Amino acid sequence: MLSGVLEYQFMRNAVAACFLASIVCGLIGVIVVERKLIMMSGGIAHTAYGGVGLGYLCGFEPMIGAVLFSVGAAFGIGSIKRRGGANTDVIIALLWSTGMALGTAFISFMDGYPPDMSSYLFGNILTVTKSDLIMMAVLTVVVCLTILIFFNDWKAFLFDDSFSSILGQKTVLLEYLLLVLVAMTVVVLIRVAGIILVIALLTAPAATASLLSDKFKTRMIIAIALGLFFCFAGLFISYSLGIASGATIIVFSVVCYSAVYLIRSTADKRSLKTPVR
Amino acid sequence: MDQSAKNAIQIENLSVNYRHTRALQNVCLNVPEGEFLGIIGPNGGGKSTLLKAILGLVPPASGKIEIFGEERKKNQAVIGYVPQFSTVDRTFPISAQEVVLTAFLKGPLHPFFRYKEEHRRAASAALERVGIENLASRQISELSGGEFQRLLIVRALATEPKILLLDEPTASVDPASREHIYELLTEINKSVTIVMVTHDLMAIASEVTSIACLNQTLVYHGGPQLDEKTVNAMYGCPVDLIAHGVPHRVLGRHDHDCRGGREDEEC
Repeated sequence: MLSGVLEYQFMRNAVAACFLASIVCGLIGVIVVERKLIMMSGGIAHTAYGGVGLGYLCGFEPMIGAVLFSVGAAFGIGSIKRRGGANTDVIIALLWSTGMALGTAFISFMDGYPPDMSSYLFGNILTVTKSDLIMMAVLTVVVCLTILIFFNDWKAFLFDDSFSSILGQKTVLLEYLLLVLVAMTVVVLIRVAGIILVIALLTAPAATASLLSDKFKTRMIIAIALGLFFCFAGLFISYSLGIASGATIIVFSVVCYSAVYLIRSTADKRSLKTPVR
Repeated sequence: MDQSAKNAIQIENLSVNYRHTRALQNVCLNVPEGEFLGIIGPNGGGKSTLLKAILGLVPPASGKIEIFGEERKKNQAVIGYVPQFSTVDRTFPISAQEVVLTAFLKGPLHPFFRYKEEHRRAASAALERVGIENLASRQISELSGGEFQRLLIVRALATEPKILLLDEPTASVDPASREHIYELLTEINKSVTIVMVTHDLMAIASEVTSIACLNQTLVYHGGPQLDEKTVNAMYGCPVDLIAHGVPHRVLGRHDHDCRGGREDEEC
């Protein structure tokens, strides 16, 4: 059956998209969950909708607009956070809704019949085009290299950034870079899960991995593997039942997370009765 | 300025603001090399802020900080820092040895960096020095409060500092660990200048060589004998300094005025 499915170009693209999405989800997801940047990632994702709308209005590739807007949002959040002037929560909320509002406004400026935005909002992995794939691949490579090359710097920075800065590390650069990486990741995921569902795909594999391992590197590897599993299983279910792919992947991930969580907490309770130390 | 050469830290007229609140005002403080200085004062009195200013983590509104007679930035590498226990994320997935290894990441960025065997050996030796080498492979979430606090000290020592700044190193540890930490600090003090922020007034008399009292501004700096007036000036009300079963006296028996401490503290 698998070889039959892969004869379709759109299925091959979908499989490739799953791979790319799982890799960035694993790497950035673990960081985002550990640093409690999930809502910030949500804000960056929703800001991207403004870029998609602008792309349609001005006639350039909507995904380019998404990159510009989300990276812009990352810099905005970063610099406001650094100055410490305002509550980060407020900034995230405002960017979140402003992005959505701008996107909607741009679309309504368009003449004629408005385009269908639902694949951007909820994702449709079966409509991933070759040019989408190329962009996703480039972003994935950039994200991976940035994390892997500076792995030890990231680990030290994420654990205790003030100590890193005392050692003379470029913590300001790393802080901005991290937000930009989150923005890139979000863009990679938009085609798979959509702007609204991105947070779940970013969180579920990493959060499940955090229940299974307390080593940083192992968590990332497990999260990538889980991401692959969630994406392919979700894709298979959506294919066999004929339901929306993005939504299926998300629901399946959350069900898996809950299952692991329940198993884990029962196991922990049992081991409490026989203390290790 | 011959005197400044002997000072590990020299602070002149330092003021620090947090937005619209003044955290420190016109603080002048000299810490001679080899001193073990305890900084006490009420919450919000600017103790942690002073450490952060020395470390360059908060920008001063005015004033000057010199480290061994040089501008702070030039000599920053000689300062080791043990942050307040509660400000560090103890759930982060990292092992005790890896925490110590981060001390070897001096400098801006380290592309393709891998810890070498010598780093691992130095980390093990540092852990051994405080008696927690058996915990090297443990994740930090599995360490007790006292063990984690000692780990933070090990990490700071691994940077081979000439000055060690500690922010409440005994705040949330059990009495046995506290005793151990003070023993350790006394030993470290043989080669390293120590500045320690603490609420532990009992420790003040017996462990440190001098104290500074901070309540936005420097209230007192001098020998580790506190008199009532200083304490009242600092905390704003009489503080119960009597501890059961502890043979140290913090309050001096003598009665003298609260001056500005030593002459060189008067700016």
